Amino acid sequence: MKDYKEITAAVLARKAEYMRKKRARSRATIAAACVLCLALVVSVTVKPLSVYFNAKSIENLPKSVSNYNELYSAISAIIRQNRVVNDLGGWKGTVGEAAPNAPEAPQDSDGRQNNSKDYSDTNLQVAGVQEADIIKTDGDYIYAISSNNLYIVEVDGDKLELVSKVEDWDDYNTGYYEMYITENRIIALKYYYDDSYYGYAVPEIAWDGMFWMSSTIGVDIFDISDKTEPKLINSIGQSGYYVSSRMIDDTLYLVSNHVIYSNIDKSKPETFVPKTFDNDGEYLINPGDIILNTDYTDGYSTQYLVLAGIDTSGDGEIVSSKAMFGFGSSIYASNDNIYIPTYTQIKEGEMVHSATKLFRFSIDEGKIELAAEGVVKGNILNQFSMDEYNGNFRIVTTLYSYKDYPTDNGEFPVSSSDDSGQSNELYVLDSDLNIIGKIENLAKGERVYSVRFMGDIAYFVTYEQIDPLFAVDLKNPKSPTLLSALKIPGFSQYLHPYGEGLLFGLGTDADMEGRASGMKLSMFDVSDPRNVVEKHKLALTNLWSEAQYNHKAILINAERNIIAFATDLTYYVYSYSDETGFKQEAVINLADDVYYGYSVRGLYIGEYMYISAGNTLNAYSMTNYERVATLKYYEERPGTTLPSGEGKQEPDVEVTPATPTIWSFETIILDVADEYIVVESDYDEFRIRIDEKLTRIYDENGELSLDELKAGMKIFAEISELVVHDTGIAEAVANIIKVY
Amino acid sequence: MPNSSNKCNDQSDLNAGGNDLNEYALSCYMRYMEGDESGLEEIVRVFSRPLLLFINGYVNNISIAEDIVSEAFLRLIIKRRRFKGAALFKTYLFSVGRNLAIDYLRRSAKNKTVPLVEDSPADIEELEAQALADEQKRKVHSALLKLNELYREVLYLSFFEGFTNEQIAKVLNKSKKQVENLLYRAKQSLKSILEREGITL
Repeated sequence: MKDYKEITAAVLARKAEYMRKKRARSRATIAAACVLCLALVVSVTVKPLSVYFNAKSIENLPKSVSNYNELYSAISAIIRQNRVVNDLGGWKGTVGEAAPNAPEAPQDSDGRQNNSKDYSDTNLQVAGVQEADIIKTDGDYIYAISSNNLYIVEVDGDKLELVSKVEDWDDYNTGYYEMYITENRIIALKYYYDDSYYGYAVPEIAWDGMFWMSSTIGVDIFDISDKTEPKLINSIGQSGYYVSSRMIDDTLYLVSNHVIYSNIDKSKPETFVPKTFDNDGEYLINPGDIILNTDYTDGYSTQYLVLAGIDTSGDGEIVSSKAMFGFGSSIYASNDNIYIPTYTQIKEGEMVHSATKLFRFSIDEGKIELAAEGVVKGNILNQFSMDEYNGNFRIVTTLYSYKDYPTDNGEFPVSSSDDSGQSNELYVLDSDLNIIGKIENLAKGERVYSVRFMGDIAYFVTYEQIDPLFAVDLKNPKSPTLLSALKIPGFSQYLHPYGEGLLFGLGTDADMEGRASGMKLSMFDVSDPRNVVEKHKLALTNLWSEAQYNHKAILINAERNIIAFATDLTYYVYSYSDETGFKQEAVINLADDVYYGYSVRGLYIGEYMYISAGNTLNAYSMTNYERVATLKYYEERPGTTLPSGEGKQEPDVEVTPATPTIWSFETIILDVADEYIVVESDYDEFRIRIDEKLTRIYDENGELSLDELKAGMKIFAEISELVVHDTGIAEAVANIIKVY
Repeated sequence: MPNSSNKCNDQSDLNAGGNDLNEYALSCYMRYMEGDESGLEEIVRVFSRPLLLFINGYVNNISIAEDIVSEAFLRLIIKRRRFKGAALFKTYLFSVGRNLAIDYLRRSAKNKTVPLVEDSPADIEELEAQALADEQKRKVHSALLKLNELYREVLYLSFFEGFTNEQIAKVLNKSKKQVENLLYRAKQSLKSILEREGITL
């Protein structure tokens, strides 16, 4: 055992190491700061509006580079520019990508058929375009990722049998995030945790308990023709942290963001060119596949968007790769195109507007080509903010505008209501991404909370105190028409078509003053979009669910009449009838035997429901929701049971209804001053400000959405829980989170 | 123990856990932040054993616990922190330690291997002896290990570290009411264990 002197020496050694890393980091921060510090970047880089709003014709699209030297010069220029921005006093990049990444909303958890058994699939946005998740089924087997390992369970009604697993408990530097299944294949997305990587929160990822920054994203392709023995066929991957992915038939499309640090070396292209790899080796992306975004000086920072089309049949093969300057956090994919929104700003007179630069990549059996580029005002909420329909692209954004005046040394550029504003916009663009129709300036002062496109109609919810559900007719794409705006308390964070003429909303309930009180299920009658009514609603006081921000966490199918989701470790099952509204079918307590885990997923096969939580898969008969079988993917390790809060709850302890979301902030609130609170994430401190009504949070760049707040706090986070040294502030933050 | 500093020369009872000790530690902290390295050594001397024992309750491995303790102290000294009242100094240290321990457990849930060096009972005893001067407290601590985590951590902080319920609530992220409930149940539970082992308090 070390004595106190030895421990002191160890502390000092750690400090020296920290200081060394910090110096290395601060270089990397430049990239992040540049993107995050919008206000500052704006003054340097914003271009007049006229430059934009003319989509680029094919000939004018950004071109690929001809060799690595050309690329090197371009990157060096960006790094130089970033330094300038940083020297202007860009405050430390602690506030996450300035992107509202939150809920996502889809098609039915679409029911599928197999040997006459019907079963649920991951809740998807676009029919035919698969999305990855931590659990999948083909009707006969359940494939699950738990603690970043992979498990295959044979399922036959009330019988569960673990037939095989791909486990590696020793190496926590890699593991699986999410997966896809095709016939006889598992395509598992894999992280490679790199200690030195200084990364971003990944917004779209399904959490399986642990979260790692990963500087490389991998894809393991397993042959599972023999379910008892998954055979690894190929390990493919590319540089960058995971942004999102989609799968169409056997082709996987993978999108990552690759950050370039300033220590680049002209003679070593690997220091500034993204890589791909497979079982046979590593490859630098060809100059011909690296697109030199013409607007790279926008302050995008030195990041690439890296895209790959991967054929997962046969031996697994990267069909094509593309890299382009820029970064994004959500994607929308139809069967023929991937749209990637990236962040930018545009200037109109004295005003600066948040804006989204859109890139359309055409996809065809793995071949990816940049096909169009365009710009709209405002930023998206999530993938459901976008939609492709009859060759047009539709998008709903929230626009934040402010007067362009110089900010001084990183102090709060307090935006008074006179010279800033927020509103919501809807655009229809043609396939070249020219705006052909629009509605602007909707719901001033509010922001979008959920969007759902249903053919000719767009539904979206904005919110400040009460929830306007807008219905917009897009039948004539050139002149979108606002049909109705239904105002009700609370707001929906996820919208889902539920059979003929019905739209289901899952969200937050609030009183008329806008105070949030819990969850709310709504059923809207949209049979007449000019007259949308909230037909039924159900308030779930003091409950919160992952389904509010992750569409994959909800099991919903109108045909089976099932709406199910988890709150903490309780799983709720509802049905709906026109006459009587929502009916609670079951409340399943999972806490008793779940050892470890966050993401809870439910699915059904035939007449049974299966719920995966932590290390446990339980089967329930859907006639009475009695548990009929249980299976542990792996056994609990002695000595590692988590104390209080996580995982196992002590059933006999009386726990007052808590404010669950708040404790997941991986942050410590250090100090409370008059105007702001000091928050620590990992070693870094930053300041946020809370308004008098305790309902909004600001940082130095203006108001933060909950997701920005979360992302920002997670950036440097290693500390597991929020410790609040002032109860008043805990309540304030809890209050804010409720409101959000 | 040698002491070079002027302000840090008050040899308080290390197990007192009272406010004097907190103030003493805080003064050492201020000294360190002003450049006197011996301040850190004193803080480590005062807090490393109790913190180590506390963290070992989570991770069950002394060398891992030592790592976590070092990291917790590092967090303390990386930036100058202002503490409203000396009591918060210790609360902060234990909060960070606990967070780091939980963080470690999350990571190691991936890693099923047994640590290379298993702690021998003698190691634990030695640690207990260093951290807890009082023979009776040591007996109670052994009994404590038989309790579940929730009870153990709350009792540890209350009984051995002299934290107030409010401070415990801060370290554990619970409401004061929850802590009171927990403490009550934990004490009942501990009492029955102690009775079974024939220890009376």
